[in-house]
Amino acid sequence: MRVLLIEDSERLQRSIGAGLRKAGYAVDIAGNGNEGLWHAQGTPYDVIILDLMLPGLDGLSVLSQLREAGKTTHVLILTARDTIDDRVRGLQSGADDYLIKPFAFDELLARVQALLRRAHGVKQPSIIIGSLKIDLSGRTVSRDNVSIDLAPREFALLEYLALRQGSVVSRTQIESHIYDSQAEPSSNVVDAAIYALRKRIDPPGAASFIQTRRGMGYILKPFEPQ
Amino acid sequence: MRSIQRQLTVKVVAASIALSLAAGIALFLAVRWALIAHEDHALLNEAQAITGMVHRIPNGKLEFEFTPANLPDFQSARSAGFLQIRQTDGTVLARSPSLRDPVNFTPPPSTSHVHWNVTLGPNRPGRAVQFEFIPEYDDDGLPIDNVRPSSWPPEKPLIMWLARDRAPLHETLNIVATWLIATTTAFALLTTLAVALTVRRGLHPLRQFSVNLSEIDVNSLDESLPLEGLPEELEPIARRTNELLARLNAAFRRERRFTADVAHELRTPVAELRSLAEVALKWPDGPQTGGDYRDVLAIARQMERLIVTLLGLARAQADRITPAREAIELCATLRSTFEPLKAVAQQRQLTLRWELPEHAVITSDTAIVQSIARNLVENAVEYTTPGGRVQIIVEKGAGRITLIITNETSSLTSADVTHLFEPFWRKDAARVASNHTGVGLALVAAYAKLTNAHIQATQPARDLLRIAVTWLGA
Repeated sequence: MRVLLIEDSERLQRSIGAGLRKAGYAVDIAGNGNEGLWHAQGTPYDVIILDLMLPGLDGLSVLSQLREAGKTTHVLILTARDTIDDRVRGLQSGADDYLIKPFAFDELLARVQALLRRAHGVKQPSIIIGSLKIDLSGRTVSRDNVSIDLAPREFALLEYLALRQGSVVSRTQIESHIYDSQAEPSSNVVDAAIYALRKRIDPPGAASFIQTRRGMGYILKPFEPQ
Repeated sequence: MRSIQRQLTVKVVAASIALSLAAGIALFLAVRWALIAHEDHALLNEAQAITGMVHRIPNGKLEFEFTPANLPDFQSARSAGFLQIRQTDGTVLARSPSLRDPVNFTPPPSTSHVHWNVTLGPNRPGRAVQFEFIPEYDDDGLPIDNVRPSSWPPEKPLIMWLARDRAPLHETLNIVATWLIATTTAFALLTTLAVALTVRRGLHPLRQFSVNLSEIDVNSLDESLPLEGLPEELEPIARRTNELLARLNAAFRRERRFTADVAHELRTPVAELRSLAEVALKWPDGPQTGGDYRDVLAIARQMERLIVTLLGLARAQADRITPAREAIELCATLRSTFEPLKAVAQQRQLTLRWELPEHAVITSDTAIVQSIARNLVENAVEYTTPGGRVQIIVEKGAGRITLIITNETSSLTSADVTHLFEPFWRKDAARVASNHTGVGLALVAAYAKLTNAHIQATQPARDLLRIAVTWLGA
């Protein structure tokens, strides 16, 4: 899952960015409105965290221009502006959520996760695929009630495939949603990541949850015993 | 608590009752005087008429025709009339049968005719008249042509005392008094009612004014009292009240904006601190870098700077600082102020031009002057356009020393200059300049006012900002 943080405070960029990355998200950061708009228009982010008082282009203008350009990315406004007028204006301008500074990081994380689920039409906090249970809130995975340890990026890959279960996901889509602009994925990084994930979640000697569609990509579907 | 309505009602009613009592008494006295005058006049007329019943006959004797038919009211002690004829030497010549006790019939000093009050019996007041007259001769007793011969001795006048019972007059006066008392009482009651209603109705605009005023609270200070329909006595009060409300509203708005600004200035550093701590606690096995601690320290310093500046501003504005009177070398203060900013100026490639005299000593408070100089120089260094020029001049005039700092800036407008000394005013709505609290210039203005220095910000050219501080009596 790829998140864009548009925030002018360098300290918040660092702490929020670090926290989201540790939670398994790919995070791009923009320090002003113009840069943020440029990122948002050029990359298919899953969620945008947007400050309102930004140098250059202010947050509401970024949001308006984004919506005018037809972008439907879910936007969470994160701002020090706390009046009801500010919240109403922000939500009416096309934001999907509004959080006031100072905030609890867990709440920010929960709201980002909620927006991600909403983006994919999922209301339950966990996804069950056969014997595989993916807890999107707790960021945990288990198979046959046995917990499986996944690295943040592995979990992000599984979450991305799970939210699109039954649909073929291309390597390019995986790259653009799992890796941020700081990462430099090599040509076979997706294949390597899929291979590593299969080793973690698939039962030994059984067919994989993740199936390859040659020339198209990957699809996550329930394990069907032969 | 004093009530205007009650006071007005009581005073107007009391005045009305006093006036009606006075008018009633005056009317009663006037009626009494008129009735007595009328009675006196009637008594005198009667006395004159009775003189026609006294004749002198040719033998010189007097003849009194006081028959019961002629004087029916003078026949018994119960009669209303009393009559006595006497000579000037006091010899009583005739008296009516009704007059049994002449002692009570005491006359006043003798005049031609005069009225006085007499007592005609127990609880029986009366009114009397004394009338002097010379009895006419009987027609038969006069010589030819009814002319009295001059050879006859001169006639001595007779004195008639005539009295009448005053009971009818007193009855009339009692009736008049009773009517007057009844009328006055009714008038007082009606006046009380009418005054109470009139005052209540007259004070209705005042009550409405009070209701309108009571409906205005802290959250509706932008409302004003309606002036339409107000009586002219209340209109100036309403206008003054509206002006007061406007001033209160402005003060409240300033206060709210200030509080909101303070909260806003603190929100971001608190959010930074909290986010930093929560992420570190959530993933404790993550690498703790020196950068995190530097961030915590920088945030703490920023908040400390804001608090110190706000405290200074609050104390200066509340006159809770007593500035010292010390001799301060302004040029040395400026140089030492600039020293820690030299690196920033070089980094921003600023060109600095100093025009300082050898000595410029002002009399003020050292800490305050240092704060003024530091804030002004910091602002100039940090807000000047990168690569721009900063000019720091100290001018010595007659009894005054002026510090003038001029710097190039591309963002300020003439409208912005008027807001420069407002707390938390920033050209940049994003408030990205995290090294500044937004209160520095407000503190400079407050300190200048506290130490009787004069401060002025102007825009001598489109891209220039000039701030001048003048210390008098230098």
